[in-house]
Amino acid sequence: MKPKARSLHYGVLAEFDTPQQLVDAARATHDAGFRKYDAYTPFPIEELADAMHDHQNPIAKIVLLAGFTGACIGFGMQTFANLVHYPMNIAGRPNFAWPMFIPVTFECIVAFAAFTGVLSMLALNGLPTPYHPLFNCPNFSQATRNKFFLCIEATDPKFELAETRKFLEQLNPREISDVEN
Amino acid sequence: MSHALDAPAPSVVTKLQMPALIVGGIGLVAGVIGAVLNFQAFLHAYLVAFSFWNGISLGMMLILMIQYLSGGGWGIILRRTLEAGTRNMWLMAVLFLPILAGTVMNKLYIWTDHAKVEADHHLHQKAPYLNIPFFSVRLVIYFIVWLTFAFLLNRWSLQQDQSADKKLARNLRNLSGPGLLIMAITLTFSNIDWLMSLQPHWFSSMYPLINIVGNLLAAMCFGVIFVALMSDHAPFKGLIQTRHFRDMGNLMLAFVMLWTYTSLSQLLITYSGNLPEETPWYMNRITGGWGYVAVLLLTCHFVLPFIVLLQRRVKDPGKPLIWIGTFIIAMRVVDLFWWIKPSFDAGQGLAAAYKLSTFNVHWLDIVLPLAMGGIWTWCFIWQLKKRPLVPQHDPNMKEAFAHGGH
Repeated sequence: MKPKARSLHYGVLAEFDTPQQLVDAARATHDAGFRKYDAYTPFPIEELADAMHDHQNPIAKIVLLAGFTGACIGFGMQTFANLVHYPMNIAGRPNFAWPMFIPVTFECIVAFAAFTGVLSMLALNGLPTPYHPLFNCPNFSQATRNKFFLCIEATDPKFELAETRKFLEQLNPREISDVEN
Repeated sequence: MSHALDAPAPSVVTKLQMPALIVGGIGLVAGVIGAVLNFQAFLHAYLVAFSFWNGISLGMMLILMIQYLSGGGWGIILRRTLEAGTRNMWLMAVLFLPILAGTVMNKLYIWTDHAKVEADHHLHQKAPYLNIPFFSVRLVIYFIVWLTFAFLLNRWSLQQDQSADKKLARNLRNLSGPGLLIMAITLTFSNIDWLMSLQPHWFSSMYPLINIVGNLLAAMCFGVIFVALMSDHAPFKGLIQTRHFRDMGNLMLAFVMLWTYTSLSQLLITYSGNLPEETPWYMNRITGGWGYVAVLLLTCHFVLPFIVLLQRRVKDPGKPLIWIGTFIIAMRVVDLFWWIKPSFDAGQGLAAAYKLSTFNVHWLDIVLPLAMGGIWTWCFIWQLKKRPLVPQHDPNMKEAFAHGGH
């Protein structure tokens, strides 16, 4: 079988010195019409999500759904056990003593929501990723220390290697490098 | 910062002062008439109104202390509003007098009735704590403590504005740590004295905590309502950011959940304990029409605010918090009414299970919380106008209002 054709380049990477430069660059990139790009920083920058118009993540909905599932399972499990599977007279309370079911129901909500939240966060981020083309850039290790990066990816419909380089040069980065796949 | 930080309280708030006075004035007249007609019904309604408005002043003091320890821009924005509320503490001390009169005249609590105390073993045993002289001594202690804290918090905060002395921020923190502990103790005991002793055979160690959490919730809502009202005007315009409102909305959400948690815990403990001196308290509050109030509280004091406050589009703009805050405050009054009102027509002690309360509401139950609210709000706005709305020289000032998160 022939290997799937991959373009030679992953994208173009620009390096910035300050978070403000990166935020401005991200805003300019979005305004120029690019959509497949990402920013890399040593610490979270709240304005960056605004600049990239990146608010669409489904985590909240997934967690809500997981919590609701947990509630149904927790409450249903106790109802089944106490009414159908093993009814027992406990201190003269009715078999369906729903106030006593609440703590376990709550714990099930928390367990389902928390585990689903963490696991789906990892899945949506594509983790674990042992290899990433960005690691080919020697400077990129600085992203965990004191440098700020913006990478426009080759999969963007507007991507043309030379054009994109030229565009990034206008943003006054410290350095621009082509990222090979 | 180029904002006019010393701008006076905007008209959107000051114009509320006159309507508040009118409501308070009419309510005061109606309250006096009601007291003459039926002093006992007046006292029952008055206790709800007092517990609520006193709770707002105390809750504001608690939030101030918590914020001095935790820091956070939301608290710097709320501070002057909360301080104005704590300066109403003296008003609450004066407004306690009708309750004291009711206690001394044996019209409010059954433990003031000598014949009943002598005839009932449990009441007799509790007499060393529940008697009028000791009740009065404790009452004086509570108000001395609260007035002292209110005085110091307000005084040092104002001095910090004027002198920028670094020592004052430390003083405020050092007061707030032990202060919170002392507040928790005095609030617990005042709650036992004023509310739990309405049915002295019953006891619950969770009950004062529910009340404290309710006070925090109501105070938070009241403060946020006023800040959101003023957010379009100097000095807040341009100073308040989305994240401040989000923090305030999140705190409202947290207190709503904490109220639910403590309320449910008390129910569960009573339900699983199944003891004859505890269960009638809930029987009185879920039968005879009171069950509808309980369902109302479950849906409107928990479910609805919980779902609404989860959403960022409610918290971030700030203005919607005015409506949700008002709604929660109304529910808080219903909550106190549900606690207090069924105590009066229910059987006490051994008779408790045989004579349960039926739902009843007196016109004073509606008039008095509004009347006291009018007077309280009038004094509150009067105090709010006295000082600049944004405190100066707070050590966290710069980072609290920096734009962005870096």
